[in-house]
Amino acid sequence: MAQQESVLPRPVARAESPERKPWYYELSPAVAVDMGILVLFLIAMLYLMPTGQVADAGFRIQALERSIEQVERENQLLRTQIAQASDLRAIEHVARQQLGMEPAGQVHFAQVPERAQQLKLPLDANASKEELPFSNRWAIIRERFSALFGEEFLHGW
Amino acid sequence: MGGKAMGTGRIRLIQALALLGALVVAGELVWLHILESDQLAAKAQQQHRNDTQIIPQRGSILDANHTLLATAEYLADVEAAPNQIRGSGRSAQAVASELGHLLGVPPEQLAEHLNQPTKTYALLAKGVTPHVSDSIKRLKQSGKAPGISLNFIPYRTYPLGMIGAHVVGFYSQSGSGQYGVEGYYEELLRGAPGRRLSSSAPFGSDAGEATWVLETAEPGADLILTLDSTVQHIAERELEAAIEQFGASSGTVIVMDPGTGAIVAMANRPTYDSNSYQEFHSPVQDAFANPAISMQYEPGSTFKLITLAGALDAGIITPTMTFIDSGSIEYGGVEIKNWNEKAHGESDMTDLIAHSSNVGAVYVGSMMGKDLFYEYVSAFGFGAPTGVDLWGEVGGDVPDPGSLYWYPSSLATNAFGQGIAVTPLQLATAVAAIVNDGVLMRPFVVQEIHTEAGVRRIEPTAVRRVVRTETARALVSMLADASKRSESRMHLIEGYEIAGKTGTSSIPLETGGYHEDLTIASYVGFGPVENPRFVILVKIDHPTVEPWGSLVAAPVFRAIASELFRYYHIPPSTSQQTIAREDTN
Repeated sequence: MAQQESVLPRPVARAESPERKPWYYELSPAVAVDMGILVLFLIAMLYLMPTGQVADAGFRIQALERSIEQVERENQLLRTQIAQASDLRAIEHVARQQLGMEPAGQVHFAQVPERAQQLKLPLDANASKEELPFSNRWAIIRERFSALFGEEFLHGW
Repeated sequence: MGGKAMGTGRIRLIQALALLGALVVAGELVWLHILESDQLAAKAQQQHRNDTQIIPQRGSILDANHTLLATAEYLADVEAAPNQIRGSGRSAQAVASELGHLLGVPPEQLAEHLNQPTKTYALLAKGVTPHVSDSIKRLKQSGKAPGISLNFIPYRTYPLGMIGAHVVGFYSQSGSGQYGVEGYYEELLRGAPGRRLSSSAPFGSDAGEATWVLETAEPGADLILTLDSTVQHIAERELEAAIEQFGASSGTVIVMDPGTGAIVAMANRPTYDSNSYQEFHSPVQDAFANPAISMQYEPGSTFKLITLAGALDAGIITPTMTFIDSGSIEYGGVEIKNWNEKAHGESDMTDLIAHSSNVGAVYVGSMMGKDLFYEYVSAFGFGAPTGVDLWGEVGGDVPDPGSLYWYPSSLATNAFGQGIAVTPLQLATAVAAIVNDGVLMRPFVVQEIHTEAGVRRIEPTAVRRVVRTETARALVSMLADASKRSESRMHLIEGYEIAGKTGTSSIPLETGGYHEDLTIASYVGFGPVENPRFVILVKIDHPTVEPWGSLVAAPVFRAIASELFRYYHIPPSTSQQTIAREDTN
């Protein structure tokens, strides 16, 4: 009996499929090293690229700052030259010696007739004269005459 | 067997040596990177990094029309690194020859500097013109000037040169503003320095140099003055002409806005060019001091206005009050005569001004008494600086009636402006107070301060009311009336009503008494009377052709005032009666 039991075929256990390892376990060491180097290279590039861009931008900013400084210096120089050119001693010298100019004599001021203001005459020179009433036109004529010949001139009229 | 043992021993020895070597290297690394790292890093930075100061741009000074009077002009200093020339392939002589031509320096002299291969720095020229610096730039670009660099530095420049030099002052070689506005506003104009870190490539090469601004420099404030360079030019031109015409030694003109105290022009002769102040030589002890504020003088008859203003305000006199002008008067044991030794008989207060009567002034001063007289003198600002924002103002010298050196006769002489010392600005300010309805204004020169934070306007400051409005107006009216009949009436301006007072003062000797021949001719006036726009003080020192203020100083006032009426577009006075007679005394 014991023998019988021993000869009985044992139940066949279901065969277990071998556990599959990640793909990189199957890589050869040489490929793994290559890939490691590549990853390191990429990391280095990712680090270096912005660093390089920042450095480049920094140099460009410095170049621009230098340009700004130069332009400001040139502006300052031009301002100084303008001021030197407006030296009144030099201008007067040129005016008198080269252009033969003389100081202005008496300045004549034209007085605006006060009555014209009171009559509310149109200030616009282009305004149509036909719109003026006859009395206003007469007032203008009187003002012009009085300005030219004096108030006494009109008294006899 | 013996050979194998020997081989193993050698290997052990090599291993031990290698280990020892590794330990030495490791130890050195620990030494360098941990124990000595700070000092070494600092040393390394020191070798290729420069922490330099950024010089702030000094503020500009502009006139009332924003014309530049002082500014910073960037000029290049030419520098060399002689140690870089040797490795460049060009000889020091060749570089010296190229540069010498541009800098106007003998090439041999430059070669001496450049032919020192161990030196890292040499200054070849300071402040070269933009034309030269551009040429050097081109040389550098073409590789003909290795080791040569340009360092742009702000140099102080005064585009108008002598115009308003005493007001503007100058920037000294010691690196600070001196005199005038430059000296007074040094703190504001200077700004605050910044810091720059620069890093250069090894061996001093300028390739790849990088700079970082650690701290931005704060530029100095720009100052806008009340000074008008056109009016200043007119004042200087007329002053110069008068000094030449009358053989005078020096002179001063002040033009002031009486309503605000703003100084529109302040001219002095002799003067200097602020760009080359070192070349100015003057017999005066303090050659650069502004005579308008730093030199005091006895004002003479122009001071009678102050005496009259005080007496009118205190009710001691009225404009119509009369006195007998007998030509001389005795007071305090001293006989005082009129300037022309003439008697004018019964005169009122307007006659006193018109005839410039010393007798009348002594009479009025004696009626006021010493306490009241000096109270008004002090109230008008004499004996103390006006507070003008200019460097080096003095306060004048008003006798103290309580001192041992004061005598009763001092009151008499002080009443007509002798024995009392004032500055031209004090007198102009006092007369401006009379014109300004009795309110004394503090004179000022800077009207705006422009900084990065914004613009600060300097408002006119009323110091105090000196006399009542009615007093001031009465005196202005008397003065205008007197001007039409005074000895200087021929200097009135056709169509305009102006007023003023002449002065011819004696000059005290250090040993006591007065010079017999030398005088100071002066005139202080204003116009137009109905709405005064300006007060002009003219002071001509030691005229040799004519001694009188009416003949020497009054024409200068007339010339300046005539141009100012045109310049300010002031129409003629409506009630003016033209007076243009040629007689004088």
